[in-house]
Amino acid sequence: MRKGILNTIFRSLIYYRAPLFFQFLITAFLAAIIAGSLLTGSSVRQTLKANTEKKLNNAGIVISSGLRYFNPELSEKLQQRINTSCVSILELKGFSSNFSTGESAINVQIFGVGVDFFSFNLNNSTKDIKPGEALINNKLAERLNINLGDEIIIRFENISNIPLNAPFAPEEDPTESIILTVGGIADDDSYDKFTLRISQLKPLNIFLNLSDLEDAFEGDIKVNRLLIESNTATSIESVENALREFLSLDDVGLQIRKIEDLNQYEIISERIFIDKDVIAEITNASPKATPLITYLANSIAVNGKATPYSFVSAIPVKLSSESPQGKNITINNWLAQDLNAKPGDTLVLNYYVSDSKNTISEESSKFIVDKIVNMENLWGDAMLMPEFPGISGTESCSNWDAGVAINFDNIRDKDEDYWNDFKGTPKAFINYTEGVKIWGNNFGPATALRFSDTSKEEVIADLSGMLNPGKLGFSITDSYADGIQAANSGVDFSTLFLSLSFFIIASAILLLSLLVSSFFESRKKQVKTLFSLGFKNNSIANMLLFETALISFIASLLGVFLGVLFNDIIIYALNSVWEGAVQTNTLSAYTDFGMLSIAFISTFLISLIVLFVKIKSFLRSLNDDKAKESNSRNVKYIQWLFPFSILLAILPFLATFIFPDKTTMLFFLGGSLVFINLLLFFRWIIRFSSPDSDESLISLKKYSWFYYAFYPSKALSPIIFIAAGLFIIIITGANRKSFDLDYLSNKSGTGGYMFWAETMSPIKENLNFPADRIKTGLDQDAFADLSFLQALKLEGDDASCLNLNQVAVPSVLGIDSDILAETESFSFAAVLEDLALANPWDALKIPAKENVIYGIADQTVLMWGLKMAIGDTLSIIAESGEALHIVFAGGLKPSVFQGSILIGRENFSRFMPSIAGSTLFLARGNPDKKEAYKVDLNNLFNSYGLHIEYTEDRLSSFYEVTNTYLTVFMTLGGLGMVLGIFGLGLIMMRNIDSRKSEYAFLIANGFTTKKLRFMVYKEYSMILFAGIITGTLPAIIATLPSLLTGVEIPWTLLVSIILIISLTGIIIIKISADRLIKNELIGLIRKD
Amino acid sequence: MLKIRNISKSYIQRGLVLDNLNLEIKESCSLAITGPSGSGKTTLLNIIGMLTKPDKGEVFFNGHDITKLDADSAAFYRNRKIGFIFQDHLLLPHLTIFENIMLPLLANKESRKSSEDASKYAISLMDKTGIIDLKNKFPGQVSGGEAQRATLVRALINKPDLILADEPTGSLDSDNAELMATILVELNKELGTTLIVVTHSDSLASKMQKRMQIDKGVLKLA
Repeated sequence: MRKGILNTIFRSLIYYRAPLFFQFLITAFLAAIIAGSLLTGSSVRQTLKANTEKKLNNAGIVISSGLRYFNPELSEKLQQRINTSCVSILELKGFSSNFSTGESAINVQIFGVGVDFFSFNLNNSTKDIKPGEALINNKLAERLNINLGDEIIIRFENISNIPLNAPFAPEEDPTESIILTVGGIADDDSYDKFTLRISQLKPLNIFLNLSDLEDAFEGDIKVNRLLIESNTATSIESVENALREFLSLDDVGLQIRKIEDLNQYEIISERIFIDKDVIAEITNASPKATPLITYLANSIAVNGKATPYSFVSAIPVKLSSESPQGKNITINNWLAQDLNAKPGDTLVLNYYVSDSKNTISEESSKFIVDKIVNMENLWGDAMLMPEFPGISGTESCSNWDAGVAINFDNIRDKDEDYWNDFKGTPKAFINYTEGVKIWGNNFGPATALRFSDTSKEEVIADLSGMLNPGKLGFSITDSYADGIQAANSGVDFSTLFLSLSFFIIASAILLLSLLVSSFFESRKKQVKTLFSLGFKNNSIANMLLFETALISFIASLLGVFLGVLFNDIIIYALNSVWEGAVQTNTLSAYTDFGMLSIAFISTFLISLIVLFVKIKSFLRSLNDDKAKESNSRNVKYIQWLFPFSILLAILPFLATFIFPDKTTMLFFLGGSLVFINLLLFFRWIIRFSSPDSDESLISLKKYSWFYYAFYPSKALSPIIFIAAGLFIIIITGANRKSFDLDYLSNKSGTGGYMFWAETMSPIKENLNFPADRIKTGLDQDAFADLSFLQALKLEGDDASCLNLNQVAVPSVLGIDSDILAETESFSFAAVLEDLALANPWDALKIPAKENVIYGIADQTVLMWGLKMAIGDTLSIIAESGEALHIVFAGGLKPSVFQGSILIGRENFSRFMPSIAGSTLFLARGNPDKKEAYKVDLNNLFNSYGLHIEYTEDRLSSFYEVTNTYLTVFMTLGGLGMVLGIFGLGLIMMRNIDSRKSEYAFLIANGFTTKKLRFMVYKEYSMILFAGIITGTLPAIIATLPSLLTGVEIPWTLLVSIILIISLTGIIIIKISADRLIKNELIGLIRKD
Repeated sequence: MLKIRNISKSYIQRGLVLDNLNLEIKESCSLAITGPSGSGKTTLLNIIGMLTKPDKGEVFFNGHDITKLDADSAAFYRNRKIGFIFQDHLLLPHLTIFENIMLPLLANKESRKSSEDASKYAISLMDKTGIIDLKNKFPGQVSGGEAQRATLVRALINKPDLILADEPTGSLDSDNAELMATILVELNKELGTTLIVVTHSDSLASKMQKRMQIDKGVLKLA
């Protein structure tokens, strides 16, 4: 640009500094809002990232053995190989209570640690935890109201590699407990936040010395997590390779033992049954390995005789060429003698099986006796019987704790003699393939893997380094990277607060637009001069743009730094009054220069667009002769449009009588039409107040409207602005999520269930079965009306709106979908149409095909928590270590299940067989008795560590997040409205400015200043209150159904917003009118 | 030099303002156009100055139909060939009187090339019109008559072929109006610049070589 023109522009900037200062202020304000919103997102992300570092206690990669346990020494071996600090810990989920007061907490993270855990992160002040003491975090101390030196009861699930519901697992108390002294309360170090889960919520933590768990492990302490120090040099691949190298059979619960009589070796499992994946790994590594299965038959019957409780082995041909084929059975001579059986006889085997839901039932199979063998070699091998914990080593059959119903009356003396002489030596043998068919279960298809013609060393050498940890139930995750990723991909608070600040941003842009218009209007004559002097339109536009853009540039630059302050305010509010949205008060404000740059560029671009558009329209208006003439007071359309619109507005309300179920929607439609009607009403008043009507100009009251009849937009624009803003704010306020009287209907988010209950110990029983109700005490009259939906739970990260992170591994619930299908519980927002099912819940019953199953989740969890859609697949790691792919077949409307993924119970048990019972149940019954139910259920399941809550309370906690966002929107919206009122003041000033001659004339003709001022106040006050009425009344009508059903409306906030808007408007009107009338009119009169 | 053929112009609310109007002006001539308010005087001036386009008809300036010019060419035409004087002086308040006078030179490259000569020329014209002492004053610091003389100098700075003056004495007192009229006539004679003045003032109109009256859109000799 030429020097002369630049000089002209800078001189202009100095001359017009006053109006340009307003442009500067509002642009800086806009930049501050945008920068503040973006910084809020950045601050939340940074806080979550910082929390990730702190909550992992310096850990990066984490090895987990899931529900199984390994030797703690594994960490030392890995540390030497990968040359990075490693530490083994035991993670349990439990329940704790204050020994003195009984105050308790569920979902407590219990960590069994050694001294190496405390040296893992040297930044922490706590260096050790003595045996007999517990280190708890601050949150738990507060929850339990417990202090240093007090005693704490810690209860946790039984530590055992044998799943509670595995066939022949002994009946044991599912929980164990210890009492420790509180030796430390972690406040602000890593132990306070330590968790391997992804969540911004502070956990409830207990750290105890591993040695205190010796009894729980019956001497042989094991662990289930291995933490590897966070550093860039260690990769998942290197850890996996090291783990593969050092992973011993003992680490995966397998043992090698020698069968002395046969000079063979076999691998057996602490879990009794061996997973098919483990079998595949071992047989691949060592072709000499042969699986076999030995099972307890309740009876073997033929010829009207029966032998009770005998072991039967299924032997593959590879192990013995004499193994029976097909449906043949080989029996030993003891059995043949007992049953008087001979080759060709058909034997009936009765046995318990664990079905797909891991429940035990009795079944039978028929086999034909092919031969009778002497009890020698394989046929006399007592070690074919696996190490059933409740059976092996017992003195007599009557001492068996087989984990299944044993009718001891059927056991004869000769059976006791057999046990004394031969222990569990199988009495019959079938083909392995047949054995797997009838006894194979979710826990595995074999009880041993035998190796012939080999030595123990050879077996170990064959398997060394050949076992894939992933196939043995181990998972290796980069928890640090996952945490950072989850924080980065979590709830985008930048976008959220930009959306919530919509009204402020819109108001600021509107205000900027008005200011710029006003500024250009004031320079109309000069632009006309430049035009007449031969300046091209583009040159004039460039000059105006350069002037105003320079102001915008500087304002945007300075404004973004004000955004830092705005961010501080938002973060403060999120940590306090708006905590409901983030569920934490630990957010910190961060200044991200990247975000400041984006805010600067965005603001500058927005203002450039506004300036460009305004300059174009300003110059066009100067050059367009026709545009100048388009004003007219006579608008005919209003005469028919207004009555027509009234009729139209009545229709939705009448329609509620025909469609009562659509009342909410119809009232909203009706309210919106009333909104339009009121606008048309004011347009109509303006139209018929003008001299175009038959009335003549007889009063000052009429006179006021003449101006607006000619320039209707000058009255209607502010009315629309105020009304639309208030309408949206009130609608938002009235749409807070709450409960209506029908919240216990089956279609609601509670599914008709009253209670959501979680237990620390799994409940194996089916609480709807009469027999199990007797067993659990639910057969009492008090519980007669109660029915249950139980869920097996695979612990994962909370995918609900309470978690700000993006969750990759959510909790998975296995439910009996038949119950929900029958009662048509819950409502679906979306379903996978391809399945074409009569009931969407039926998708959960579809059996797995190649590890692919169907799942259902809350639509909000899918969209926001997982960022997925119906038809998408979520892959998780099954217990065996294999991938389980869950295809989403349905999305629920907001429900109590928010945060978890639902799959069918049968599929759940197949892929997570060790999860023995339900730790979660929903209960429905007589709503009148809900308080009594709660007390009674608490008493009944107290020993399970029950935490029970009303479903409405659970939904409320989710609604609180939404409701807080709505409050934020309303508050920021109200602030935006106040800003908009300043815009109204500007419009008013412009209107008054354009009417100065008119006012001067009136004064010259005898109007008093007082009268004129009153006229101006009245005009603009009417516009202000017309806007308030047009916004408020239709909004109340539109939300009437919600108001009548008792939705909790934030009346105080709404009324405050309306009052502040009114007050601000009145003040602005007074200041503007007083200033113009006092200072300018007198001068104008003198001049004229 | 200027030939107007059959131009018409109408507005929605005012109706037909110029009706098939014809006019021809020779070089160095001075013409006064008078007429009642709303008769179309300013509209005619705006059409000649290409501030408004006619609904129909042609305006030939030195043989070229200027109604066919695009916006940029029209701007160039205004800058190089026309000098405007309005009733309201329309000086930019943030520029000094001298800077205001030199302002047209910034409009395009052609004008900028001659800025050194124009500066000397401006000084001489300011001297002639009696405002040389006001060179560094701002418009707000000078009287209405002085500001209007500055406008005249600004209109002449590019040595235009045609000066269009819309009520140049309308906002001046009688002494200043007389002075302004005298200067206009003198400069017209001295510089040979064609001058068209729209005015209600008989005094000013009588000083022009030719006088025409416009009424109801029709132009006729007064």
